[in-house]
Amino acid sequence: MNRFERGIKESFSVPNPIKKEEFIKKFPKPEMSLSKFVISQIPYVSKVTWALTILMFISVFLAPRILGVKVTWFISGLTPLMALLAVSESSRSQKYNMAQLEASTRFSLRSLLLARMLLLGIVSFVLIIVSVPLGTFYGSFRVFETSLYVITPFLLSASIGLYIVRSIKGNNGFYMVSAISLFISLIMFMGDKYFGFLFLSVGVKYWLMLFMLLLVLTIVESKKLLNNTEDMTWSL
Amino acid sequence: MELVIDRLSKQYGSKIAVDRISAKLGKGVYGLLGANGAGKTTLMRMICGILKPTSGSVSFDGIDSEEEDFRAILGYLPQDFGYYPDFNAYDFLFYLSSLKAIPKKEAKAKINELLEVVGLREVAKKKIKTYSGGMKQRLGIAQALLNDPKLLILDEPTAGLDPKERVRFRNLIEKLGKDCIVLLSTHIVSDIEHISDEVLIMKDGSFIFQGKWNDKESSLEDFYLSQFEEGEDSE
Repeated sequence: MNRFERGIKESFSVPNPIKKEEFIKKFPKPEMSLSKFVISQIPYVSKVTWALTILMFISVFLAPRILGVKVTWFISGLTPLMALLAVSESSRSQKYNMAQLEASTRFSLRSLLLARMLLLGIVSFVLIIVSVPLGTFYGSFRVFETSLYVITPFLLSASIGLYIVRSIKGNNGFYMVSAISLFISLIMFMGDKYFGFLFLSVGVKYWLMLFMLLLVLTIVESKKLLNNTEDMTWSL
Repeated sequence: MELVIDRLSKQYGSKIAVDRISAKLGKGVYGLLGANGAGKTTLMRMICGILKPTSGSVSFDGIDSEEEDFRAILGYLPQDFGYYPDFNAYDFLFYLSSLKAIPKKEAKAKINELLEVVGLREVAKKKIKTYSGGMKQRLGIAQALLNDPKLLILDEPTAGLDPKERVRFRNLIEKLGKDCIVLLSTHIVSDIEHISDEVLIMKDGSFIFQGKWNDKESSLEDFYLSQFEEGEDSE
């Protein structure tokens, strides 16, 4: 500040702002793209979900050293649990009675659900992408078969789970999804010992058909959940 | 600034919860009175755009209630709301700021200001599950004001507030009503008598009174209670 500026400052007092609030309110509201919004929701995904996801990644990397050729069963038993995490994260708003508040915000409940599904969907996809080469390299199946055995249980758990959280509200729905996902997971973990016939090469075409059917069902159920946000806001 | 409700109806099977309600609301505080089941909450949810009407429409300065721009100017306090179990007041308000697309810096300043207004600054870092009913309600009021709403919908906002908090809340609403449209529902007639510019009384899904309560002959409370008696007589 030079001496002229100092002189002016000393000679004149700054007037109090008039209608400052109204002026500020006229500023255009900042735009936020969907991708930025999705990223902004990362810290708000449950910490337990992130912790369990990290644990799953660690166990996928450790499993081949411990289980050897049996790694495929382990990985295929793990993916329904990943689906359980994704589904329960999608139903959190309803579970904790936040749906009404979220639905009335600028981004709406639909965008929020989409953001959560995208985040957990991407993480699940990465888990599968990492698991398949590991399962193929250390396991006893080829890439195609391993992919089917890893992805199909995920889709089975996801499609049933999405249907249940949409149909049965509150904790009952959550417990039912958990029980079903754990059951699918258990069957896959024990696949080698008790259900080996399911994984014979002759059954691959049935696995492929099941995979296609479940993929369609998962997409349909995801769409229904996103279009059903009005029902989620009813808490009374 | 005008909220237009045009022949708004909501029907569940054979039950009509809201029956062709129309109104034009300008700046000010509007008190919505009605017994349980009169259709107040259904009407408010439809105004907020979170419940699709069977017929009719709601718009604010020509913006339809289903649009993002409508939600951008909306502040809503539901009758009953929850919170994620690991949240404290800061987390709760930052989370809702993110859903309202408020930039972090701006949100931080606004959150501190609102926590001061609702008297929760001292306990803002404590988990919400440790709060009393009144504190949770004040937090709900704070979240509704995060985005400087032009339309503020408050469903039973005074529920759980003690008399001192109720007076503070009335003063706040009175101030807000000068710049925006405030629609609040309550069972407590005195809340409305003190702060509302206009009164809307609902019964069986319709407005049975809409306007300023200037009747010197009878009090609003007497009129309101007489509506209950009429209902009981006809049953």
